[in-house]
Amino acid sequence: MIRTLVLKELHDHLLSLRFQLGFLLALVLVSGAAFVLSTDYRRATEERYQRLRAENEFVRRYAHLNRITSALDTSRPPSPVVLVRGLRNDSGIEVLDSNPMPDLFGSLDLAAIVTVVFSLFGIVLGFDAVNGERERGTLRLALSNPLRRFEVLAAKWLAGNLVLALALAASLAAGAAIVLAVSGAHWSAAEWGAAVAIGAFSLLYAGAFFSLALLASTLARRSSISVLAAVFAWVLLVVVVPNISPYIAAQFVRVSSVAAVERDIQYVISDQRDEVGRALSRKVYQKYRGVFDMEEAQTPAGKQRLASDPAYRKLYEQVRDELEHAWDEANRIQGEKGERMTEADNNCRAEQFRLSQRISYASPSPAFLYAATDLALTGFRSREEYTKQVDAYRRGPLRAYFERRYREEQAKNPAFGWDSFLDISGRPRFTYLPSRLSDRLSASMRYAGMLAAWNAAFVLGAVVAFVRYDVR
Amino acid sequence: MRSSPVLVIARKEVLDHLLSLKFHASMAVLAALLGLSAFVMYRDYQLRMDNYSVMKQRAQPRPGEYGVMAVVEPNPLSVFAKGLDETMTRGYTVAYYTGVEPRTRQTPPDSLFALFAAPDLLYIVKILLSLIALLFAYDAVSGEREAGTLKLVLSGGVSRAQFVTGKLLGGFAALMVPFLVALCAILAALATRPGLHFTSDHFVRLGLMVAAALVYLAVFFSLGLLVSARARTSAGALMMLLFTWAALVFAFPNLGNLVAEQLRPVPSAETQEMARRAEFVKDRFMDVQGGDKPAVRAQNIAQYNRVFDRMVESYRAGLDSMVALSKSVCRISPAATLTYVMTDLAGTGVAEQRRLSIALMDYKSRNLEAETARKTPAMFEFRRSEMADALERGALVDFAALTAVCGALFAASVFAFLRVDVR
Repeated sequence: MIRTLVLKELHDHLLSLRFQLGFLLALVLVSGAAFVLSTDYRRATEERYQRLRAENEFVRRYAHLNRITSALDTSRPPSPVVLVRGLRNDSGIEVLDSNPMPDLFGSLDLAAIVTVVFSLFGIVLGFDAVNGERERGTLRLALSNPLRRFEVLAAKWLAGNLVLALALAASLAAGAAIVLAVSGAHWSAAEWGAAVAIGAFSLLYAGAFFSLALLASTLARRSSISVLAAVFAWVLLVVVVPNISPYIAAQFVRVSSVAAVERDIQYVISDQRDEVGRALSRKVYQKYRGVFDMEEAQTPAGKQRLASDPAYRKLYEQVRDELEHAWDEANRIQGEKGERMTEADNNCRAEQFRLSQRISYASPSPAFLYAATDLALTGFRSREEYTKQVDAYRRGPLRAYFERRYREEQAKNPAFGWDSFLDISGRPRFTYLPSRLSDRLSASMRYAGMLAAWNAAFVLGAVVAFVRYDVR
Repeated sequence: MRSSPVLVIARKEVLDHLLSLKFHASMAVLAALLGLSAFVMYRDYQLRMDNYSVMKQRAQPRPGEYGVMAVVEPNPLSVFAKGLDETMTRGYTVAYYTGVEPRTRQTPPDSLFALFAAPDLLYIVKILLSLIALLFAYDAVSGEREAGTLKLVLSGGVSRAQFVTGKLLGGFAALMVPFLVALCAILAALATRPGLHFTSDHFVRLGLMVAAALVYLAVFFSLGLLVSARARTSAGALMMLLFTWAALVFAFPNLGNLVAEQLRPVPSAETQEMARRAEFVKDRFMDVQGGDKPAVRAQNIAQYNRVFDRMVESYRAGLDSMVALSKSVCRISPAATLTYVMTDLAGTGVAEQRRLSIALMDYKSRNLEAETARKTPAMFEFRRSEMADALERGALVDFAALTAVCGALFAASVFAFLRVDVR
């Protein structure tokens, strides 16, 4: 029986104008976005390749240890799962003139289309599922059959999700085909897996909104009311909560202004360092008061005595070393203090970020967005991994290589300095190692859990409301 | 004296709305969001102001410091349309041997803020109010037909054009009056906050921004009327409108930009920054090889500056043509046009950022002359553009485009309704 119901619902949906409109819109948008993002991928890959070539050329002529590290490219290749754009690769880099469009408009990728269009699609498919039938009078007819109410609702839910899955699968297939044809990206099993997982997440997400509409249609008597309720809920969940959450979090976890932090740290490692250094040197002077006077040693007479009196000279060297040590100590103390301040500021920012993420979980759309971008290697998690890898590369192999080369050159030529030309064509290159698909999947399971919970909550609400529903 | 039928219908429409649940729900959501938005955007502005005052203290040119700092005061109107204000107020280190280097911005661009747009007035109008306008209009005609009252109304002495006009006036007034009242209340609350000084120029700009918002909403209202007149059922009208809305507000502006970026590509920030650093490293290298002779040094600095200027220039040319293309591509979507108008009027738009970047480059060259003449450079001052300037530079055209779209849609809804079977 439930099979008949599902088939009837499917039939109804597939022949309806709303399905056809939504399907067409989704298909066109996903294909269009796939095409544009693919050309973008091709261009970005080419641009990166040219950049690396220019770097090689440059290093061959101007490499010197003093400043070369700042001119070495450690960018990562654009993600081959081009359908989900997420954070831009260059979003952390400050230049004078940069492309203002990302600040003014969002970008249209699969994640944005699913977030907005597919969730609306879910609502449009479901807003009159129950009360529409009541208005037409078919609900009474259906329930006069030996059917449990739960079965009617389950059939509607199943059919709605199947229809959404169909639309998603068709759009994704079209998108993937275009990406493979246009972008020149090579998709291995991991990319296919990521794409399929993104599709599954999209279905969970769009399904949640279908369930929401189902709930609205069992709560409201008239479909004109339920559509409004569902659209308002949609507005709150999709366009309000995510956007407002970082700003709300900023009210609770305050971060100080970057300029103030910078100023304070600057003070600690320069002016205050000088004070500490002077205080420590004073101690040294006091220790040798009456035994040795540094100022005296600087006078012409003192200099003469330094040259002639070895005992005096030894004392001088001892004091000098102790003074040097005092300044090293001041540098170390204040440097550590500065590092602690940087760390405290970073921790504060990280806490604000975590809180804003938590607030944003009041809506299913951020959870979906985090999952999709993480799976496509364009999210926060992969950015963090990437930054760590760059850091490890710079501190590890690159530094070791430079130190080794410096020693080698100095052994050959004692006059070799930090500013002399150094051939570094054999340097270790940075390679970005994306995390494995299985790791990404297990990390995104929590988002799957959240989306499933949204689904379950709405469906449960609908079931409870429908049990008490007056079908007349 | 009998009042004109247009006014009668408009009055009835207003009363209808005032009694409906839809009206109360949307106005409650709207008022809450406007208040929340004003509050959070004000706090955001305050934080940037703090940042600015710290930077300003440090920006006093001191001899022997690495470069000079150029700071830009945050724009109070960024509370309503944040636009590029965050980018503009980063603070810059201007040095003759590294060019113009932006400093870290207050909210890092790879944080959560990057994924979600700022919830300012522009965002609320663009996304939320346009949707509410559609919700107010979708059953204006089709609802009356379904209720059977359309036949009745038209059997009186009301022409179809008068009917549609009355519907537009009444529905739009019901939407706009509460919005404007809420906005005035919020403005009054904001104007008394410390640290936020609105001058008369700001108020005029804000007035024009609100006017643009009204025209934008009228576009969506007329669109709703058009679809409502043609659709057989209200539910069908709403569905059509929801999808159209998603396409116009979300898809077209964003896709249009992506297309413009592809057709007129500019190098990424990564490429730009690598090229600049390479030039810098090369310059230092040549310096050292030249043995730090003053003449060689001056020559190298001049050479570096020439290259840097050329890089900025060529990037700028590419960017300008991309923005121009994106503007014309995005004209198909009123949402994109509104974004341009409001940010341009607020002085947080693309044009203002361009002015700033030109001013910074000028400052750098003047600075270079001062440094070679061993004088302490003057402090950087950025004069914001006059409003007439902003209007001339495109806001007026965008405004006209919005108005034209609005008029066309309204005319279309009148003509569409002329041929509708009212039964």
